[in-house]
Amino acid sequence: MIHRIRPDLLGAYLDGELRGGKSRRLKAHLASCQACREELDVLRRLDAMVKDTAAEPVRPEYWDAFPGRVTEGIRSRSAGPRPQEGVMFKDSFIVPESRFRTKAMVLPFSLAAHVIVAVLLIVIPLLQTGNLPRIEITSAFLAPPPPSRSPTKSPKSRFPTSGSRAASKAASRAASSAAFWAASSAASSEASSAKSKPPSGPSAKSSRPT
Amino acid sequence: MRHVDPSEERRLVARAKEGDMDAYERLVKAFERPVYYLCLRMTGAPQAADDLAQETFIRAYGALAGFKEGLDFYAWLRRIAVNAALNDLRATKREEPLGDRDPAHYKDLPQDELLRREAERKVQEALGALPSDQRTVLVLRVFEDRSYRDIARDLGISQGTVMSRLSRARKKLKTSLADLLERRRP
Repeated sequence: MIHRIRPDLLGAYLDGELRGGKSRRLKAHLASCQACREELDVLRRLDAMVKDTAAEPVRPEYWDAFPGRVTEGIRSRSAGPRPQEGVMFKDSFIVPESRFRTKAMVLPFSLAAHVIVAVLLIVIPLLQTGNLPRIEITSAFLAPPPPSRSPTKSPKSRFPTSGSRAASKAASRAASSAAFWAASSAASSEASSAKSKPPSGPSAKSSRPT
Repeated sequence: MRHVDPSEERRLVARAKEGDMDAYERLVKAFERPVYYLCLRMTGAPQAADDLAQETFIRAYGALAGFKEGLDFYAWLRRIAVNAALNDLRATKREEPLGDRDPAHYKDLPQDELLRREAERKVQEALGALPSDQRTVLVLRVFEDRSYRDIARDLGISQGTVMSRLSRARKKLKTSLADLLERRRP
């Protein structure tokens, strides 16, 4: 048989907490289901067994002395500060005790944890440079080499090794440097030949260096 | 449960509110046992029950001005006791098994009495093995005979939660006390 009765409903039925349709449906189910009737009987016997269990007996002297100890406790508290009374009760409903002391103890650890997390997530990644991309800045005086006019490029030249690439860079820099100095010397020789000629007009005079 | 009639209870409460310590001592005398045994069943430890019962009456005296006339004084005390016990259980994580009876004390008892006490010890142990939230609901339902609505209001939980906690508590007790239940089968 398939049981559609939840165990907590059986308990609620036993406690007299089911009302109306729920109670009627459960009662009808119990009339036809032997297993649920047995389960209800087990719950009933279980409650009775728990209820019948005698608590640990206490000596009569304990009860005689108890009210006096309570009075003593009240007097000792009223002599000292009573900080909790104001917050514990409001219209006879109990308000949980403040956990200020716990919070005060936890606060430094919380701050330390936040600092550690900030160091791990922000500072350490900033300090670790790793393999950053290398940026090469070339001088404006070092003009790039003229484009190669060789009709064919061997695969080796297209994908040079690091050593050959460095050698080719050095060679191109040397070539461009030589070209630059050759151009400079040509310009200076032109200037010296122009200096030996007489000025042809007033404009030439004004442009002469002093 | 009542150890003092309602009119006398109201009179004593009114006098205690005015600071009459004799009247308050009489109220303590009237309710010391139910409050102590409630604390004992919730904590399972006699020393803790003693501390909590005293604490309940001391707190109640401090809050007596807020007690509304006409309400059930024991129901009010019970809420204070339950909250004090729950706070204590949370603070100390005290989950000791209920009952610290030494079986060595039973050796001179007659056989029937021996079996009865052994059964009681097993029930106490099974109750003590329950989580405190389930044990509290079970104690309030079975020992204090409170309705689901009252339990829910006192503990600040829903009635559905009361029902499910009770169901889980009974399921665990049924498993741990299976042999006793079988022995007591009619």
